[in-house]
Amino acid sequence: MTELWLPSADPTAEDEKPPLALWRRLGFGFWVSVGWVLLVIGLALLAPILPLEDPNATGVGGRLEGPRPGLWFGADSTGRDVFSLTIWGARISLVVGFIAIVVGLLVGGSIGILAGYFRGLFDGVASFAFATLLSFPALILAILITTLLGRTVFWISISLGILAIAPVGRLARAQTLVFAEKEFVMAARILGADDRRILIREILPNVVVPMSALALLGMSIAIVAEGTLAFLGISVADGLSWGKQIFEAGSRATDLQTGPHAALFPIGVVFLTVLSLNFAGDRLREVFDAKELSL
Amino acid sequence: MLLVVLAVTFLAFASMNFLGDPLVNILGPIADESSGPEFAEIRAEARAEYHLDDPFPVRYARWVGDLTQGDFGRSFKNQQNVRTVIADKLPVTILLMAYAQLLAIAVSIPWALWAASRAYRFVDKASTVVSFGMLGIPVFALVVLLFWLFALYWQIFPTRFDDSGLGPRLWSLTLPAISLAIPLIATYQRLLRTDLISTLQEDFIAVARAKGMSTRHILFRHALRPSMFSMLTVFGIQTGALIGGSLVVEQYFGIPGIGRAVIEAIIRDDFPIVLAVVVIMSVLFVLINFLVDIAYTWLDPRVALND
Amino acid sequence: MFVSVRPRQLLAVLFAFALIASACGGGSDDPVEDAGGSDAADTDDTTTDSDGGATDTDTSGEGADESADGSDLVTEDPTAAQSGGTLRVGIEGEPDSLNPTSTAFAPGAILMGTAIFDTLTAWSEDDLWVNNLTESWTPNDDFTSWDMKLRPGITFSDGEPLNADAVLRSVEAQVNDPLIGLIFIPVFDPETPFEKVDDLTVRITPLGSNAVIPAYFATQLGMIGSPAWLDARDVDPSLDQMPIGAGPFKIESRVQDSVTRLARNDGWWRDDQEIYLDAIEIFPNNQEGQRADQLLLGDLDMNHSTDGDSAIRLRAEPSIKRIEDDSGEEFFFIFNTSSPPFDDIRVRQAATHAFPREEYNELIDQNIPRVADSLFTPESRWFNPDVTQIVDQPELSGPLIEAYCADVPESCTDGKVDIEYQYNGPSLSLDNTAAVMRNAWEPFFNIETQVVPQDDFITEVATGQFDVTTYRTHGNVDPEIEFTFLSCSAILGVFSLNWSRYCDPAREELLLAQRNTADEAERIELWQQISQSIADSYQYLITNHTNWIVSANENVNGVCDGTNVDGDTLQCSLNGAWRFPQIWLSQ
Repeated sequence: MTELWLPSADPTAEDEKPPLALWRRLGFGFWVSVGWVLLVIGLALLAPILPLEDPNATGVGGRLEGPRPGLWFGADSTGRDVFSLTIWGARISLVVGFIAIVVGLLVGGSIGILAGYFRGLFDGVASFAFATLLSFPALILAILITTLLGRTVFWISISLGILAIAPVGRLARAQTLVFAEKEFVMAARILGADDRRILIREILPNVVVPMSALALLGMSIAIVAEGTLAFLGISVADGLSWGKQIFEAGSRATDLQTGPHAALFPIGVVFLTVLSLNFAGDRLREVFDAKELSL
Repeated sequence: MLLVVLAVTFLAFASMNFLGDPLVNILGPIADESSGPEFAEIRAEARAEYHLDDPFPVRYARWVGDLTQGDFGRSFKNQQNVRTVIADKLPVTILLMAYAQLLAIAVSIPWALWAASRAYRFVDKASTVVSFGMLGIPVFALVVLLFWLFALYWQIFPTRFDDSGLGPRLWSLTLPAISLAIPLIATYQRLLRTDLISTLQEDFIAVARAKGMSTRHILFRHALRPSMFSMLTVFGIQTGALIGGSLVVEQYFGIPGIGRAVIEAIIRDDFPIVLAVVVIMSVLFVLINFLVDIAYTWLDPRVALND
Repeated sequence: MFVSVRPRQLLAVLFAFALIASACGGGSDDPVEDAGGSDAADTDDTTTDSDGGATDTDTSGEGADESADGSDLVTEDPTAAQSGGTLRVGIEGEPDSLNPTSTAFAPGAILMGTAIFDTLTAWSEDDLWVNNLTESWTPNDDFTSWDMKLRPGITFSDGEPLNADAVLRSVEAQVNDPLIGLIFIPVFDPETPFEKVDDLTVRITPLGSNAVIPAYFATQLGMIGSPAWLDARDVDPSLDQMPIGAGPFKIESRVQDSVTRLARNDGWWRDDQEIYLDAIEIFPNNQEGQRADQLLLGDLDMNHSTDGDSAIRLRAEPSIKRIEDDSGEEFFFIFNTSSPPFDDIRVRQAATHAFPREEYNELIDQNIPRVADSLFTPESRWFNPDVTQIVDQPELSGPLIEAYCADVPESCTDGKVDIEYQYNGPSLSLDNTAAVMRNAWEPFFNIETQVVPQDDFITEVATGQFDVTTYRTHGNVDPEIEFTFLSCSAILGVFSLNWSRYCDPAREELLLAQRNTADEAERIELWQQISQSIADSYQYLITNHTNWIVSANENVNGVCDGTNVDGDTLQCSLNGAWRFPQIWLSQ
């Protein structure tokens, strides 16, 4: 899962073109991606009021029954509706992804900005802490924290959030370093603005933009991370999630052979969602030219 | 670097000790005084043996001291020497990770060269889409997908790790290694392609071209080496991803490596094993990134000068 | 370091004993021999076993469920037996330790332990205990004392003699173990349970009167380790993995989670039985489907499994030999009757009535294992045909819950009873079980599900920190060995081996009465009453008889041909364990 903390790729240099409206510059693919993510989020939010089978109801379909009208994704090995499970599974995955990245942005972002702005000892300590966090195998750290603190949505989100602190913090620090030297900051300082004002008015807006691109990527990572924990059997104990669903449907060879649909449909949905988040994040980064910010 | 490793060990040791009662992890419920006097002796023995009454810094220092002598302690679970456990399981994990890295490099370099030499043409764009897609499949989904396709549907690869010799071992590790390699391939291919494209625009390439060298020759002999920076950096960092991925892959494919051991240990609160694995993995990770730094100078002597 | 401290798992032990008990009890049919050799040689010395009537009575054993195919595994022509070869066996899980004095053995460990140690007594194919390493058992008149006489000339694979001292060393280690020993508290005299009479005789003093004592030594308790090894093990706990016993095989190498290799013990004491195999390799793999694959591909020669999918696949394969046996453990839900809400029988009844037996069997078990209403299969002599559970009738549950919530509103929310449903995991099949049960119970209960790691799970169940949980146990051949798990005396304060903590003085009397007599008819009558009492108490919701399938490829022969030295045919397979020396591979 850690792989995605890094820039998934260097954005290829954009050809110089006359500036287009922002929404045009982001491109068709971007909007398709965003559309898909919004669709998933929408379905997840509306799950309780949509005309779906109860995801916990067993025996809705036959054991590993294939897809058919009304049972679009088929049934799993206890006869639950795979479509409904996938939608409900999105809830935990998305919530965890969201909370985790918010924690990462708030904590990592502020530490990074402060470190980059004030430098000195605080910066040294923060940079060292980031380096330390980054040299843990991320997944092991997540498992460790979750096991020690508890397998609830809250703690899993927090532990993934902790993982996000270091990469986000590093980015924020690097970005701040760049801007702290820029003319407009100098100018503000000469004009007598205090640190707080400079940080909030001058630095923050410039750091936030590239970080929003990172947020999308980060969310996809957190979703993958939660899925991984669930797949390993150590995520939220009492709930549905994509990872758990794929694990349940995919880890018994005979079930997988008889009813691959129960695993393949959620895999497809996870794939599209992660892909969309990655793509949208990448596009944002390219468009805002946050290139030099790669870790 | 040493400092980072030390900090990692400290963090790990501290979290084990403060986020739960070590005595409970060792003994379970009889750690509780209320479980009755008949277990008092066991409790006392455990406290003495694990030195639980010493202050935390003393325990940490002792633990690190033991570590430096290669003593990882004994499993809470079955009293096995942790070093033996690690020695039993680390090789297959390393083999798996090395196999995956090799596969990734073997596929991504030719692919990147091929794509860069056709930069911005349709095939290149198509291959970029493919590699982007490869990044979108989480390892846990990938293992299920590949297992279904290659082990169940087409029945090309065995369904299980076969330890009966080097040949079968490698053959049965192929599917797991591919699962780990796919995101790596995509990452490397994308970075290398981008760097190649910009290298190809440099003057010395133009000179070579003017000398009438073949494209193939230019790509391999001149462009490749200076283009490998980003890839190399990421090679180090990806090792972390690989460690995470190997947990999933080992668990799913039933490979008796260190990843499986650590998951089991975590579930069972077998902290000596968890700590040992965390330390080893972190050291490995730091070490590889250190080697990567050294490799930079080989790739481009200018780095040393500029620093 | 002298690690006398045991890991929490030991606690597990307790628990595990449940398993053990069943596993052992059942599984450990020990030693073996098969019809193959010159068994006749050995004096049929119908020992003096005063096994009381127990042994002699001939009841229609329950082994009956070994499906017809079981007979495949019986050699038709014993003289055809061939020597040599390595038998590769798949098991469902890797044992933490192979030391019977410090760990409770699950089926995989029983299987290996039986090969390495053998057991003092064993189960015959008629489900009666018979001598094995022992020559005779002599009780006093009221069964308050037993003299166990060992066969002369038995040595461990390290050359040490198996004598009274060795037996005391092993048996006392188990009984005195603070954790494993708990299970024996209701069985043996606390002061001097074992005494040496002479070099080959040990006097055993049960707690009170017990006519079935020898049966205990057909379980893990009857696995005797070399004293030298046990002493060395106290210094180096890693020797738990390299046990030394007097069985037909000795451990050659062991890499946990990979392979354990057992080699023929050339110094084995039995002259009447040739050991055919050169070696046995044990491969643990918790992926049921994979083990079945390997068997079908010929990567394994034998396998054991309780998995429904595997059962379906293996049954469809005519070249595979199978023994299916469900006389061992049961799968069931335990209600904690010591705390609300399941301390109220109405709540237990409601949960039981709402059990969707039909759906459960279809979805969870694919109708493979037989449904169960009591601890015994219909073929068992202990079976009581009148005992049934009222299930699949959720309409009966509503009024009970309503009445309960009116009386005890603090245990209810919105007219439903609040419960915690616990199971050990990660486990896919238990996840599925939970899915089905939550669906069925949801109309009457607010269910909080908790997945607990195995060790903690055992602990929490033993200490009563649960409302309802799933369990698999009660697999003993002789139900006396279940005494500890049903008796009031097993509720020891914080810990209880009586998992549901149900204590009924009337049942306690029945339990005591059945162990005081060797008269089988009388014991059967008493056990029928006990079965009824268990059903009436609703302490368990029993779902299935665990269906163990021991499967083998065509070249494996003689699995069911094991005999003891007296010529009694031993039980072929129980709880997924069997005996090895009589097995041979056709080339």
